[in-house]
Amino acid sequence: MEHPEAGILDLLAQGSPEAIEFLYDRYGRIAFTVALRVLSDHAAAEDIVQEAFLSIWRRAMTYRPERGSLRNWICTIVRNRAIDRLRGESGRSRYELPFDEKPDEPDLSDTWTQVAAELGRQQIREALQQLPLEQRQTIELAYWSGLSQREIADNMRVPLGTVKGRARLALSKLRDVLQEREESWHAP
Amino acid sequence: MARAMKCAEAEELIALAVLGVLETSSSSDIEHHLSTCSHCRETARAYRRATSILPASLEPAKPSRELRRRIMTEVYSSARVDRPHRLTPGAIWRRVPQSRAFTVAALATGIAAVVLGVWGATQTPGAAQTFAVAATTNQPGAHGQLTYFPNSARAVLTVAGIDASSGSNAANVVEIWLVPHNGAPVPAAFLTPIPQTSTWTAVIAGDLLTYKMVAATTEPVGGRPSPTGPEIFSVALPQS
Repeated sequence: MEHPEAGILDLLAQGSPEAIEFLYDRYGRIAFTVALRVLSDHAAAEDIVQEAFLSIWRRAMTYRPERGSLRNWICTIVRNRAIDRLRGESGRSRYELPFDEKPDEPDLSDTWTQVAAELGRQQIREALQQLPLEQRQTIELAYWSGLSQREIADNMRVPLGTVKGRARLALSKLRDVLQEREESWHAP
Repeated sequence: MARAMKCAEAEELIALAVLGVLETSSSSDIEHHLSTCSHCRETARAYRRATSILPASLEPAKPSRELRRRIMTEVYSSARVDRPHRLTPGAIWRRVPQSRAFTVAALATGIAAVVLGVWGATQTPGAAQTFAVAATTNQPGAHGQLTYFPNSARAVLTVAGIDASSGSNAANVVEIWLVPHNGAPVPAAFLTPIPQTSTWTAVIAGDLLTYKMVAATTEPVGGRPSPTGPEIFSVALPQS
């Protein structure tokens, strides 16, 4: 599937300032929303968004235009930087899985971009609401708080194994919802 | 040495990893398992996708306008520094004739240029405007968008769904035209394919909002001063 933003990616790789302007106008708000969710501080969130977009701008020459899903890529960069800011000097290193794609690079390949774009905020909230409360709290704490798995277990007053199980069940159910949506996208 | 684990255990660690909370002590075990288990690699991919929707569940928050100005000022300033073809103050000075009259005039011009340059760098760039590509019967699958950046008077055209044989073979190119409200179309750019995609792109310079539309035709290699080939798509522009 061709990526609808390939032209912008190409310009970004060429170091065009208009490309970063375009990206900010399109994704600046979600980037700020992510940073604010992690940091709960308006000024600190703006600092993180500024750092993230300038980082994208400076890394533009190494960018590979054939890889896409810019929105997720930008959100990941902003979230990681915000959590690093939250953890500060005493923060722990983040382990990331060796996927087919590098975690800090976009995932572009199939109908996923279209499916993700089609899902509105309300639909995503409904999908999350379908999860049992303790599963939803587990993934939200893990994703947004910057706590370690053991800190999450302590916070929820459950054994570490329970945190692992809840995280797996929650993502498994979300996966099923999204796969159902993706299959309906393919349906005639 | 990595410890062997079953898929159920691996899936728990994958879930923690995509959420960003897996401790590094488990990394060799899970990496070893993923290197041998395609089922869990697919699970990892699916869990990453599931996690990626979480930002979209948030109530959107709005950053200040000042943030945009800060980012763009730094980006445009560094772009000016990084681009060697742009004139530096030193280069301008070396071009000034070394007579007193010319020097005084050049100094005045230079001060004005600096004032305008600083003013331009500190202004918030105008918001980009996006317009849709409209297909024609010659290329009914053409689709894409044109994004116009008013402050730099440049536009980025991105198009997909066009028949490459009409624009990429040895005989033809896709030429982009600016069509004025009155008068003949003006040649503006050539569409170029982006490697490893089926998308084509072009950067168009000019104050687009003074034109009626942007149009594309197939032309012989090298282009033509006015359109001769069939129109393959167009972009209507708003009246300024």
